[in-house]
Amino acid sequence: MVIESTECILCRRLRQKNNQGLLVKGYYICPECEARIIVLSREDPDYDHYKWGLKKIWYCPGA
Amino acid sequence: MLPGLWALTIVSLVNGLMLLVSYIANNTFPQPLSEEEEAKYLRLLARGDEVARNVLTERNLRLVAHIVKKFDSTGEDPDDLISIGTIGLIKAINTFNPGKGTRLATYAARCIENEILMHLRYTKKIRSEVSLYDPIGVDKEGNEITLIDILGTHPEVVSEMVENRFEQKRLREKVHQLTRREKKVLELRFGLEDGARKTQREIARSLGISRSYVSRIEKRALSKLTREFTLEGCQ
Repeated sequence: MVIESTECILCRRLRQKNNQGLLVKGYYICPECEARIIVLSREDPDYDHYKWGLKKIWYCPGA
Repeated sequence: MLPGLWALTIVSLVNGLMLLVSYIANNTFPQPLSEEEEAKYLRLLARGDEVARNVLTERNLRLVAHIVKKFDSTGEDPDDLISIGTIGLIKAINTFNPGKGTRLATYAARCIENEILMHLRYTKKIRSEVSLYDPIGVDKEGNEITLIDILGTHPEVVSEMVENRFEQKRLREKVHQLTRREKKVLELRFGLEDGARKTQREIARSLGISRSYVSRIEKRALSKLTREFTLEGCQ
Protein backbone atom coordinates (compact mmCIF):
# COMPACT_ATOMS: atom_id res chain seq x y z
CA MET A 1 0.00 0.00 0.00
CA VAL A 2 1.32 3.46 -0.90
CA ILE A 3 1.56 5.94 1.96
CA GLU A 4 0.78 9.44 0.74
CA SER A 5 3.23 12.14 1.75
CA THR A 6 1.87 14.88 4.00
CA GLU A 7 4.27 17.54 2.74
CA CYS A 8 5.54 18.69 -0.64
CA ILE A 9 8.56 16.64 -1.73
CA LEU A 10 10.13 19.80 -3.18
CA CYS A 11 9.53 22.57 -0.62
CA ARG A 12 8.17 20.67 2.43
CA ARG A 13 5.05 22.84 2.46
CA LEU A 14 2.25 20.95 4.22
CA ARG A 15 -0.33 19.27 2.03
CA GLN A 16 -3.53 21.23 1.60
CA LYS A 17 -6.91 19.79 2.46
CA ASN A 18 -8.53 21.13 -0.72
CA ASN A 19 -6.99 18.39 -2.90
CA GLN A 20 -4.98 20.96 -4.89
CA GLY A 21 -1.54 20.03 -6.17
CA LEU A 22 -0.16 16.91 -7.77
CA LEU A 23 0.04 13.47 -6.18
CA VAL A 24 2.33 11.07 -8.04
CA LYS A 25 2.83 7.58 -6.60
CA GLY A 26 1.89 9.00 -3.21
CA TYR A 27 4.41 11.84 -3.49
CA TYR A 28 2.85 15.25 -3.08
CA ILE A 29 3.89 18.31 -5.14
CA CYS A 30 2.22 21.52 -3.91
CA PRO A 31 0.44 23.86 -6.40
CA GLU A 32 3.19 26.49 -5.98
CA CYS A 33 5.99 24.07 -6.90
CA GLU A 34 3.93 22.63 -9.74
CA ALA A 35 3.34 26.14 -11.15
CA ARG A 36 7.07 26.82 -10.86
CA ILE A 37 7.95 23.59 -12.71
CA ILE A 38 5.64 24.50 -15.59
CA VAL A 39 7.59 27.70 -16.33
CA LEU A 40 11.00 26.33 -15.39
CA SER A 41 13.72 26.90 -17.98
CA ARG A 42 17.03 25.03 -17.96
CA GLU A 43 18.89 28.30 -17.28
CA ASP A 44 16.91 28.82 -14.06
CA PRO A 45 19.25 28.62 -11.04
CA ASP A 46 16.60 26.52 -9.23
CA TYR A 47 16.37 23.92 -12.00
CA ASP A 48 18.71 21.50 -10.24
CA HIS A 49 16.72 21.79 -7.01
CA TYR A 50 13.59 20.54 -8.79
CA LYS A 51 15.58 17.93 -10.71
CA TRP A 52 16.90 16.45 -7.46
CA GLY A 53 13.57 16.70 -5.67
CA LEU A 54 11.68 14.79 -8.35
CA LYS A 55 14.09 11.87 -8.05
CA LYS A 56 12.19 10.86 -4.91
CA ILE A 57 9.33 9.67 -7.11
CA TRP A 58 11.64 7.23 -8.87
CA TYR A 59 13.99 6.21 -6.10
CA CYS A 60 11.58 5.14 -3.39
CA PRO A 61 8.57 3.53 -5.06
CA GLY A 62 5.91 2.61 -2.57
CA ALA A 63 7.56 4.49 0.29
CA MET B 1 44.59 1.20 -23.37
CA LEU B 2 42.03 1.42 -26.15
CA PRO B 3 40.36 -1.97 -25.47
CA GLY B 4 40.18 -0.97 -21.78
CA LEU B 5 38.42 2.25 -22.70
CA TRP B 6 35.97 0.39 -24.89
CA ALA B 7 35.22 -2.07 -22.11
CA LEU B 8 34.61 0.80 -19.71
CA THR B 9 32.25 2.51 -22.16
CA ILE B 10 30.31 -0.71 -22.74
CA VAL B 11 30.05 -1.42 -19.00
CA SER B 12 28.77 2.10 -18.30
CA LEU B 13 26.22 1.82 -21.12
CA VAL B 14 25.00 -1.57 -19.89
CA ASN B 15 24.74 -0.20 -16.33
CA GLY B 16 22.64 2.73 -17.51
CA LEU B 17 20.42 0.43 -19.53
CA MET B 18 19.98 -1.98 -16.61
CA LEU B 19 18.93 0.89 -14.39
CA LEU B 20 16.28 1.96 -16.90
CA VAL B 21 15.05 -1.57 -17.39
CA SER B 22 14.67 -1.89 -13.62
CA TYR B 23 12.65 1.33 -13.53
CA ILE B 24 10.30 0.07 -16.22
CA ALA B 25 10.10 -3.51 -14.96
CA ASN B 26 9.29 -2.24 -11.48
CA ASN B 27 5.62 -3.12 -11.05
CA THR B 28 4.98 -0.08 -8.87
CA PHE B 29 4.71 2.00 -12.04
CA PRO B 30 1.35 1.28 -13.65
CA GLN B 31 0.79 0.46 -17.29
CA PRO B 32 0.18 3.36 -19.72
CA LEU B 33 -3.41 4.40 -20.30
CA SER B 34 -5.36 3.02 -23.24
CA GLU B 35 -6.80 5.54 -25.68
CA GLU B 36 -10.26 5.19 -24.11
CA GLU B 37 -8.95 5.58 -20.57
CA GLU B 38 -6.91 8.62 -21.60
CA ALA B 39 -10.00 10.23 -23.15
CA LYS B 40 -12.02 9.48 -19.99
CA TYR B 41 -9.48 11.08 -17.65
CA LEU B 42 -9.03 14.07 -19.95
CA ARG B 43 -12.80 14.63 -19.82
CA LEU B 44 -12.67 14.47 -16.02
CA LEU B 45 -9.70 16.84 -15.99
CA ALA B 46 -11.60 19.34 -18.13
CA ARG B 47 -14.31 19.27 -15.42
CA GLY B 48 -11.68 20.21 -12.86
CA ASP B 49 -11.11 16.73 -11.39
CA GLU B 50 -7.72 16.93 -9.64
CA VAL B 51 -7.49 13.14 -9.23
CA ALA B 52 -7.66 12.76 -13.03
CA ARG B 53 -4.54 14.90 -13.32
CA ASN B 54 -2.70 12.65 -10.87
CA VAL B 55 -3.73 9.57 -12.86
CA LEU B 56 -2.67 11.11 -16.19
CA THR B 57 0.75 11.98 -14.75
CA GLU B 58 1.32 8.66 -12.98
CA ARG B 59 0.25 6.51 -15.91
CA ASN B 60 2.68 8.31 -18.24
CA LEU B 61 5.75 7.83 -16.02
CA ARG B 62 6.84 4.77 -17.99
CA LEU B 63 6.88 6.96 -21.08
CA VAL B 64 9.62 9.03 -19.42
CA ALA B 65 11.78 5.94 -18.85
CA HIS B 66 11.21 4.75 -22.45
CA ILE B 67 12.24 8.13 -23.90
CA VAL B 68 15.31 8.38 -21.66
CA LYS B 69 16.52 5.07 -23.19
CA LYS B 70 16.98 6.93 -26.50
CA PHE B 71 19.60 9.16 -24.85
CA ASP B 72 21.79 6.34 -23.53
CA SER B 73 24.69 7.26 -25.77
CA THR B 74 24.88 10.89 -24.59
CA GLY B 75 26.88 9.94 -21.50
CA GLU B 76 24.46 11.85 -19.25
CA ASP B 77 23.46 10.42 -15.88
CA PRO B 78 20.26 8.38 -16.55
CA ASP B 79 18.87 9.38 -13.12
CA ASP B 80 19.17 13.05 -14.07
CA LEU B 81 17.51 12.43 -17.43
CA ILE B 82 14.64 10.54 -15.77
CA SER B 83 14.07 13.48 -13.47
CA ILE B 84 14.33 16.02 -16.31
CA GLY B 85 11.87 13.90 -18.31
CA THR B 86 9.47 14.06 -15.36
CA ILE B 87 9.65 17.87 -15.49
CA GLY B 88 8.74 17.62 -19.19
CA LEU B 89 5.83 15.32 -18.34
CA ILE B 90 4.43 17.73 -15.72
CA LYS B 91 4.68 20.57 -18.26
CA ALA B 92 2.90 18.40 -20.83
CA ILE B 93 -0.04 17.50 -18.56
CA ASN B 94 -0.53 21.18 -17.71
CA THR B 95 -0.28 22.59 -21.22
CA PHE B 96 -2.04 19.85 -23.20
CA ASN B 97 -4.90 20.99 -25.39
CA PRO B 98 -7.19 18.06 -26.38
CA GLY B 99 -8.80 20.27 -29.03
CA LYS B 100 -5.74 19.96 -31.26
CA GLY B 101 -6.47 16.33 -32.07
CA THR B 102 -3.21 14.89 -30.76
CA ARG B 103 -3.12 12.14 -28.14
CA LEU B 104 -1.73 13.18 -24.75
CA ALA B 105 0.91 10.43 -24.93
CA THR B 106 2.18 11.82 -28.27
CA TYR B 107 2.28 15.38 -26.96
CA ALA B 108 3.87 14.31 -23.66
CA ALA B 109 6.55 12.32 -25.51
CA ARG B 110 7.47 15.47 -27.44
CA CYS B 111 7.59 17.59 -24.28
CA ILE B 112 9.72 15.02 -22.44
CA GLU B 113 12.11 14.76 -25.37
CA ASN B 114 12.31 18.56 -25.70
CA GLU B 115 13.06 18.96 -22.01
CA ILE B 116 15.95 16.49 -22.31
CA LEU B 117 17.24 18.15 -25.50
CA MET B 118 17.07 21.53 -23.77
CA HIS B 119 19.20 20.09 -20.96
CA LEU B 120 21.73 18.62 -23.40
CA ARG B 121 22.01 21.95 -25.24
CA TYR B 122 22.46 23.74 -21.93
CA THR B 123 25.24 21.44 -20.69
CA LYS B 124 27.01 21.77 -24.05
CA LYS B 125 26.78 25.56 -23.83
CA ILE B 126 28.01 25.60 -20.22
CA ARG B 127 31.07 23.55 -21.18
CA SER B 128 32.08 26.16 -23.77
CA GLU B 129 31.51 29.15 -21.49
CA VAL B 130 34.06 30.78 -19.20
CA SER B 131 32.79 31.59 -15.75
CA LEU B 132 33.53 34.98 -14.19
CA TYR B 133 34.48 33.00 -11.11
CA ASP B 134 36.95 30.65 -12.87
CA PRO B 135 40.46 30.85 -11.39
CA ILE B 136 42.91 32.44 -13.81
CA GLY B 137 46.04 32.43 -11.64
CA VAL B 138 47.45 33.38 -8.25
CA ASP B 139 48.69 36.69 -6.80
CA LYS B 140 52.08 37.32 -5.12
CA GLU B 141 50.84 35.84 -1.85
CA GLY B 142 49.56 32.73 -3.56
CA ASN B 143 45.85 33.65 -3.33
CA GLU B 144 43.69 32.48 -6.18
CA ILE B 145 42.58 35.21 -8.62
CA THR B 146 39.36 34.86 -10.60
CA LEU B 147 38.39 36.71 -13.78
CA ILE B 148 35.89 38.87 -11.87
CA ASP B 149 38.66 40.04 -9.48
CA ILE B 150 40.59 41.82 -12.22
CA LEU B 151 37.60 43.59 -13.78
CA GLY B 152 37.33 47.29 -12.94
CA THR B 153 33.74 47.19 -11.68
CA HIS B 154 32.64 45.67 -8.37
CA PRO B 155 32.24 41.87 -8.78
CA GLU B 156 28.58 41.84 -7.67
CA VAL B 157 27.69 44.57 -10.17
CA VAL B 158 29.42 42.68 -13.00
CA SER B 159 27.59 39.43 -12.31
CA GLU B 160 24.25 41.25 -12.02
CA MET B 161 24.90 43.10 -15.30
CA VAL B 162 25.76 39.84 -17.10
CA GLU B 163 22.68 38.10 -15.70
CA ASN B 164 20.44 41.04 -16.63
CA ARG B 165 21.78 41.05 -20.17
CA PHE B 166 20.90 37.36 -20.59
CA GLU B 167 17.40 37.89 -19.20
CA GLN B 168 16.82 40.94 -21.42
CA LYS B 169 17.91 38.96 -24.49
CA ARG B 170 15.46 36.18 -23.59
CA LEU B 171 12.64 38.67 -23.09
CA ARG B 172 13.38 40.55 -26.34
CA GLU B 173 13.08 37.28 -28.29
CA LYS B 174 9.60 36.72 -26.86
CA VAL B 175 8.43 40.33 -27.23
CA HIS B 176 8.79 39.95 -31.01
CA GLN B 177 5.78 37.65 -30.95
CA LEU B 178 3.44 40.36 -29.62
CA THR B 179 1.38 42.73 -31.75
CA ARG B 180 2.83 46.19 -32.41
CA ARG B 181 0.53 47.85 -29.91
CA GLU B 182 1.16 45.25 -27.18
CA LYS B 183 4.88 45.62 -27.74
CA LYS B 184 4.64 49.43 -27.54
CA VAL B 185 2.65 49.33 -24.28
CA LEU B 186 5.16 46.98 -22.61
CA GLU B 187 8.11 49.02 -23.88
CA LEU B 188 6.69 52.21 -22.36
CA ARG B 189 5.36 50.56 -19.21
CA PHE B 190 8.59 48.78 -18.28
CA GLY B 191 11.10 51.11 -19.95
CA LEU B 192 12.43 48.39 -22.25
CA GLU B 193 13.86 50.93 -24.70
CA ASP B 194 15.26 53.80 -22.63
CA GLY B 195 14.81 52.63 -19.04
CA ALA B 196 12.08 55.26 -18.37
CA ARG B 197 8.90 53.63 -17.03
CA LYS B 198 5.57 55.31 -17.72
CA THR B 199 2.24 55.01 -15.91
CA GLN B 200 -0.81 53.55 -17.68
CA ARG B 201 -2.33 57.03 -17.69
CA GLU B 202 0.74 58.54 -19.42
CA ILE B 203 0.74 55.75 -22.01
CA ALA B 204 -3.00 56.24 -22.60
CA ARG B 205 -2.40 59.93 -23.25
CA SER B 206 0.48 59.36 -25.69
CA LEU B 207 -1.35 56.62 -27.64
CA GLY B 208 -4.70 58.42 -27.60
CA ILE B 209 -6.61 55.56 -25.92
CA SER B 210 -8.24 55.09 -22.51
CA ARG B 211 -6.31 54.00 -19.42
CA SER B 212 -8.48 50.89 -19.00
CA TYR B 213 -7.71 49.88 -22.59
CA VAL B 214 -3.97 50.25 -21.86
CA SER B 215 -4.49 48.06 -18.79
CA ARG B 216 -6.25 45.39 -20.89
CA ILE B 217 -3.49 45.44 -23.55
CA GLU B 218 -0.82 45.18 -20.85
CA LYS B 219 -2.60 42.26 -19.16
CA ARG B 220 -3.04 40.44 -22.49
CA ALA B 221 0.60 40.99 -23.48
CA LEU B 222 1.88 39.75 -20.12
CA SER B 223 -0.29 36.65 -20.25
CA LYS B 224 0.97 35.97 -23.82
CA LEU B 225 4.56 36.26 -22.59
CA THR B 226 3.86 34.01 -19.60
CA ARG B 227 2.41 31.42 -21.95
CA GLU B 228 5.41 31.72 -24.27
CA PHE B 229 7.82 31.12 -21.40
CA THR B 230 5.67 28.25 -20.18
CA LEU B 231 5.65 26.57 -23.56
CA GLU B 232 9.34 27.25 -24.22
CA GLY B 233 10.27 23.67 -23.42
CA CYS B 234 7.30 22.10 -25.16
CA GLN B 235 7.51 23.61 -28.64
